[in-house]
Amino acid sequence: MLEITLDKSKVQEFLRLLGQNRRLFAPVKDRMGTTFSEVVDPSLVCLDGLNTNLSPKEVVFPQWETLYTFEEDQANEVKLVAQETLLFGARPCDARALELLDRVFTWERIDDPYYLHRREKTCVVALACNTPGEACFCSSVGGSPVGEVGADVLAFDLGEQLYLRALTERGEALLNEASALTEKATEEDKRAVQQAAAEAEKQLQPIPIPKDLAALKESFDAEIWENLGQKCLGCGTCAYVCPTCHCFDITDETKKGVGRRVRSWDSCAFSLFTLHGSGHNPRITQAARYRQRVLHKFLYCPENFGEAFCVGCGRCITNCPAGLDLRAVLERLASLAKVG
Amino acid sequence: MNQVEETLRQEVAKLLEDGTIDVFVGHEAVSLPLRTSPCFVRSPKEVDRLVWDRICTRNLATYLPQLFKRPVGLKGEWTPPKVGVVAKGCDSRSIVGLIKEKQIPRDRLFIIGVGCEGMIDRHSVGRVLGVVGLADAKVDGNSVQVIGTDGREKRIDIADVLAASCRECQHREAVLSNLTVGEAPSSAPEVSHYANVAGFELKSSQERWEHWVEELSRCIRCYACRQACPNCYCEECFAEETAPQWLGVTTDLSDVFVFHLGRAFHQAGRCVDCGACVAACPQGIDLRLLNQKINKDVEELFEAQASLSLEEAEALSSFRMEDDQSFMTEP
Repeated sequence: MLEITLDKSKVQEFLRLLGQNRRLFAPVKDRMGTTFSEVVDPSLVCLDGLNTNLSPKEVVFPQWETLYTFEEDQANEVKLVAQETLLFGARPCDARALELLDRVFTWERIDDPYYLHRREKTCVVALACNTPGEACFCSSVGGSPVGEVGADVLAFDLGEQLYLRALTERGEALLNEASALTEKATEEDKRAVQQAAAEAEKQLQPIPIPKDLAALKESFDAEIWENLGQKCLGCGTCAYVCPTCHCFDITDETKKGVGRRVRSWDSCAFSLFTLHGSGHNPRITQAARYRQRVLHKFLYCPENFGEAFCVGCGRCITNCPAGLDLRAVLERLASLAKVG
Repeated sequence: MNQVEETLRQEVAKLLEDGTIDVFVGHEAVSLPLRTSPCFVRSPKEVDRLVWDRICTRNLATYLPQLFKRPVGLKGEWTPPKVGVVAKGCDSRSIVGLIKEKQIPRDRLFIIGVGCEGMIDRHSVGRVLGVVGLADAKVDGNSVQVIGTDGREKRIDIADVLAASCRECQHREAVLSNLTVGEAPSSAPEVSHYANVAGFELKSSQERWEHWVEELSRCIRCYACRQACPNCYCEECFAEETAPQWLGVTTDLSDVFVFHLGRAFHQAGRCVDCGACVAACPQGIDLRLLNQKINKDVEELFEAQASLSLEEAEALSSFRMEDDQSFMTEP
């Protein structure tokens, strides 16, 4: 596959060129550090931040979208036309999260057209991490700061230049479009990349992850959930900043017989999440709701999809208004598993 | 360990030992620097979890009502617990408000008041660091030594990263307590606690509109502001009512505005400017400006601030003949 380098002074030109026929999403500076934004002016792109405050999942799975509109008894389809999109500078954890989301939205041969029509048009250029962020633990959950999963191109920041390696045909085609601006990577570049990758991986401290699914099942009635639930405020921050959380709600908005059906992000921490029409709520306590969040990621998803739905980006940790640290929770669960 | 922290632990151990309280709500350290988490201490052996420092930003009053709710599914007799809590000025005012609104019982609360010089705002520290993360930090007197994820060290004056509501706080001591720990705080700074509002009021309506469009277009409807707020204890929030449905579920500005304006009006005369909403917001929205504007209006109209004592009637839940009636119009 194609391996090239791009002088950093040409990154803007590179993005301007590739953004001509595409929507471009990339990290930009923000009061919270950096955040993904649709970029019209590539001079605003900032590749110096680590994890953006919000994940880029919104590019393929927007916070809300209209599924169809209706008028009296007539339903009108929403035309699903996505533009070619370039997601540039997503960290490897976020790219891997897209691959996990793909599994949900194509689960058991049911393809979600709303998700897929955007996803299929999205080319992902991931940017490897040279140093870990404040709450990073990707390598403990099967990822890597230089991971390739979910990306079409993997880039490395080598100081003066970016090294870019195509991982898919789509990625290679993308890089070829800008070939006038790039150089073929030299053996020296490739060695520098290998060294950067080794350095990055070395810096991450491994944390214990509960992998014994039987023991996790046993933990259902453990006291730990009561203690954690007491701290949890029941907001949706963790789910909304999470690159793999994908639960949604469907709401009808009607005014005088005309309306729309809307799908919007939901969070298992909300007390209304599982409230039935009858008034019964199977997850009546915050403890039960917090347990659902952790077990969904680390027990039910491994059962259903073969992998935990956590890529170790740490956003839920840095953003939790109650100061809950998923790493500490996982450590306690892992020790429960050992005792059990 | 500082003196306040040490005394606090000793006092809490005594209270738990002699049965004055069953559980104590305080702050505990977490793995991330400059952060704490609420902790619920039930045995004298656990008091070492309690911390007290310039990082105890959280308003613990938010966590009290749940303790006085009958546990779900419990059959037979149930006596509410006796609860201890450590309170800064703002926590104590929220506690007063909750007692007056009958969400928590005064006679089952033991409040340990601590004078407060203001708490560090993590968002402000983040802004000093820019795009790099915070790898480590240590509070050292009136400054904090921080190390970024890029390895660079910086010494920051705490005064420069105080939460905005702390900077303008006028009530640095608990207004209600059973016991106080530590020394009285230094006197409040001579800044108006409506300094931010005064500047905002000078703007044209177009500029104000643009300000709120920019701020609220950041909102992700996570409800962290509401959940962190001690005043937001409604079993069902208007934002989630479906019959009637007051607002939609989207992040369209119309939906977001209705939520934040509705919440702000529900806070009128009740907000103690603790800053919990601002601290909780993952998007760094300055919701305080909205609440402080209404606080200022209430103070100007009724010469009252929220929840300063158990005895005094609250501005918007009482009536005086001399109250401003200019809002009334002829039929």
